[in-house]
Amino acid sequence: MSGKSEALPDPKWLARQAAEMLRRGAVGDPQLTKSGQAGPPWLVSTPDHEPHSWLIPVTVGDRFAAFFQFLLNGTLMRFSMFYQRPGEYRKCPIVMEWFDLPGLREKAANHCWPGESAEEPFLTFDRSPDRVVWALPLRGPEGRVRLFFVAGDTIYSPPPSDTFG
Amino acid sequence: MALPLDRLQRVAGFELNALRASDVLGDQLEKVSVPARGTPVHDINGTVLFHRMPLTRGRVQTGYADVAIEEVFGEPLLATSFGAPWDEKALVEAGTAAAGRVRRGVKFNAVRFVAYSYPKTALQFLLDGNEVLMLELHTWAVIPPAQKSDRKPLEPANFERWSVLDETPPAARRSRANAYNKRLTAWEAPALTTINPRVVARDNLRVADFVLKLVDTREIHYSERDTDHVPCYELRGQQTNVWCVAASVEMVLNFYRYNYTQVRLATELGLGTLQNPNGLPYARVGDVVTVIERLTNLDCTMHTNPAWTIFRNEIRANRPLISFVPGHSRTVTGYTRTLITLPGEVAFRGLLVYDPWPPNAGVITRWENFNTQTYQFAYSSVITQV
Repeated sequence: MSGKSEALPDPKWLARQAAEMLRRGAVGDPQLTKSGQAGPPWLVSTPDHEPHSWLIPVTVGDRFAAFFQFLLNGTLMRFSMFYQRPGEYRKCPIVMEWFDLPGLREKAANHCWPGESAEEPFLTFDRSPDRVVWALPLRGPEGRVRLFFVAGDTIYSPPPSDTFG
Repeated sequence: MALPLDRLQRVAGFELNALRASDVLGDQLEKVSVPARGTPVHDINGTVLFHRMPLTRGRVQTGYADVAIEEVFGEPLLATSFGAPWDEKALVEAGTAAAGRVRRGVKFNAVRFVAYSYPKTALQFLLDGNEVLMLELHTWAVIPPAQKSDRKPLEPANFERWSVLDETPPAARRSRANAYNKRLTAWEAPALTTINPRVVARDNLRVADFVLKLVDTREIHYSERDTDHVPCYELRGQQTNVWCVAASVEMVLNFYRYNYTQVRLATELGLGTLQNPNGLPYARVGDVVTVIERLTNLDCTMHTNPAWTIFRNEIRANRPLISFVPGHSRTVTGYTRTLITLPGEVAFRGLLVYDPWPPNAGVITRWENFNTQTYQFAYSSVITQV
């Protein structure tokens, strides 16, 4: 590890900060403060595998209610909620839709062409860090890698980079 | 007008109490005492710029605060430091010893602290009012004399003396003076006259008839009246992985009671169909204006590289915006910014973002850190007919 990256905050420490912010009511609303659980940090990388940020989910039961996104240096980029009104968690995605690694591996295997092999899925973003997705890398026999993106129940090929979408 | 010294302690105390009330520094400031005077720190031109005031808790020195005497800084509290006590006497002794080493036999009859390149400080040795030597604090490096140069104001070289007062443009000085004096006036509020701010405490400023505004925040309401209900806005998830623009337009038009479907808006924007969708090419960012104006009675404006004030002013006028960031479009319906921060740090500015990503869901981001995002375009809309 380089000296530069050694100076970055420990993601476990970030997760504790997130839990503390949730507990103090600095984010979300009183119902989320009461019911929400800040989960473990997930590394968000660029599509080129460079570390970019940490996503810390907040779950309520089996629902993915909200999340923190911290830059690697610990700066809070955003706190985002899937629900529109306090307590409306039934409209939030199911946690396993987003963080089911075996399920993602299975999706990747299903999209392989003959001769391709699925590599390990990683959390990334589609053009903007706002658009967090899972990337499913599929490596062809000649070594070329093509990606699929998965966001909840949506699966797609990366769109052209010179568009808003 | 410079701050009279008989008001220095009260102003410093109120500023530190406000910082404590905002919880920016946690418990570090609790029960800290503010002295009547500090060490005067001068501008290169000789004017006293600020006082460096040692802070103590009981008998223990905990740090210091720099409090502006001159209004050119725009705010009274310039900096705080904890963990490194301020010992004026020891520094003068160390600097005097260094002066003897640097220039053997140097004669002087006065020593003062100077912000030779604000906030960098030095000790200036004077003989009958004229400088004979200037040494940077702690490093004791000799500060070179002023050089004539053609450089622009406020763009000094790395190790060059320059004057905050002489180089700040007149317009900036005027606006900062206004802000500075406004703050001083706030500390003269009748409700505060009985308060003793010399010892910092979290609840010192919680008195009747005095509201300490720590944040400036606003969200889209039903109307511009603050008492109307909030939020008056609905999140729409994008219906395909490339329809963020259509979803953003849908959210804003819904706010104005236009009920176009996302599919229809996508068609109008040339984004294909649900079965065969496409994103909005960078070259067609102007289409958002064309389509909104064609379908509504709204007058739409595109802002390139929108500044914070564009978002703030539109929200204050109760108008949501569409915001383009690289590769993505969202809508903005609120803002917040902290009014009191740790000196030297950037105040937190956040946007309330209704983001159509991920598809068929979307998220509400409260808040998006304005300093971590790249804002390429924003679209504001004004009703032209009712």
